[in-house]
Amino acid sequence: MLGFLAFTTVNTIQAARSFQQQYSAVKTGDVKAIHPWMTIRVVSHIYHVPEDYLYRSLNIGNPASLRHLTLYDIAKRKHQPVDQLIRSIQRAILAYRKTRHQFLTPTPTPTLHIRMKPLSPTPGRTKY
Amino acid sequence: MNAFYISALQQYGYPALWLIVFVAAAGAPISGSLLLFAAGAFSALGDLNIFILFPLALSAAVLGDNLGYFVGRRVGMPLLTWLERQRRFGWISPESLARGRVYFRQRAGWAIFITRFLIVVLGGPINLLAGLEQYPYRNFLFWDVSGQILGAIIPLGLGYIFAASWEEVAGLFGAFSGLSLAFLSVNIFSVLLVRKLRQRSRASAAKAAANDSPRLLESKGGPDTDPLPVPD
Repeated sequence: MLGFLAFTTVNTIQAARSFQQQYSAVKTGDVKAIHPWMTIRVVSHIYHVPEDYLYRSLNIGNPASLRHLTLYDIAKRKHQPVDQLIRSIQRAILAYRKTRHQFLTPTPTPTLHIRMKPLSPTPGRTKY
Repeated sequence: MNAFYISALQQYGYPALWLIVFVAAAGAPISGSLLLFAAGAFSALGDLNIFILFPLALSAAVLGDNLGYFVGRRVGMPLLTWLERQRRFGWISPESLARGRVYFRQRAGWAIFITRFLIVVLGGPINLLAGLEQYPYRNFLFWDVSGQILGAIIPLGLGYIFAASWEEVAGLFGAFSGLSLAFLSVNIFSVLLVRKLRQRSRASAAKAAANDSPRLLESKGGPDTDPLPVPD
């Protein structure tokens, strides 16, 4: 009886750790948090990647028929292991982020163009 | 197996959810609450509607429980009589079976309530047992609906809140449920053990007192040497 209690306690601690890891991975946008139960729509929602982009990168012809399929089912249809499909999605997301980062990063502006407030010649005077 | 249910939920939506939860509540070895976690997560991600899911899950679970109860009521007693007659179950004495039934009758309400949301594994057997024991249907329905409200809100809510991590949350909840069961078992076992030990010590004390009384009389000189005064 005490053995059962000890086993369930250890099991609960492990489950709590696993949850903590997954939760922080999702929060930070880590692509390792992709699971076979997810659909392409869910992946696109969590990782902020367009659905069409994911379908294109996976070479899927008719996205409408796969809209409600989990990654597990898509892998089965494509006759490939689900881990391989997940790896392809991870690569696609990372590639998307890379291109987007390059596109969005602003060019550094020279500081000379910044308009600064002139210093007050009279001490204590603020309005001009 | 879980992948199959989740695929069914994604492809067929609400009818699949209703059917799976109903079958699970009726006593099939399927985790209905796991599917509710998934449904909660899918509703957070925009595939299902949480306000439709709640009444759907509640109705399916309550109807499934009722089926279990009425099956227990119909076939429970003949099954129990048959089991009592079987030699291979000879290690369960009729006395311990009767004691178990009395124990269940005293705590049936709580047993029904807790097994709807916390120790879900025992939900099916408890429904059958409640039917078998002819537990009043109104009381059964009250405790069942009260428990199932929590049984639907907890997994749907947690799934909705932790959407992408629903699998891990469900695992944590399942582990916590197992821990509760273990804790409850240890508690009941220790209470029974303490009771048994007390009974034994009381019995041995009474025995010792019974053995000591003739010796005490002998040491005092016995009843013949010092007779009690006889009233006239």
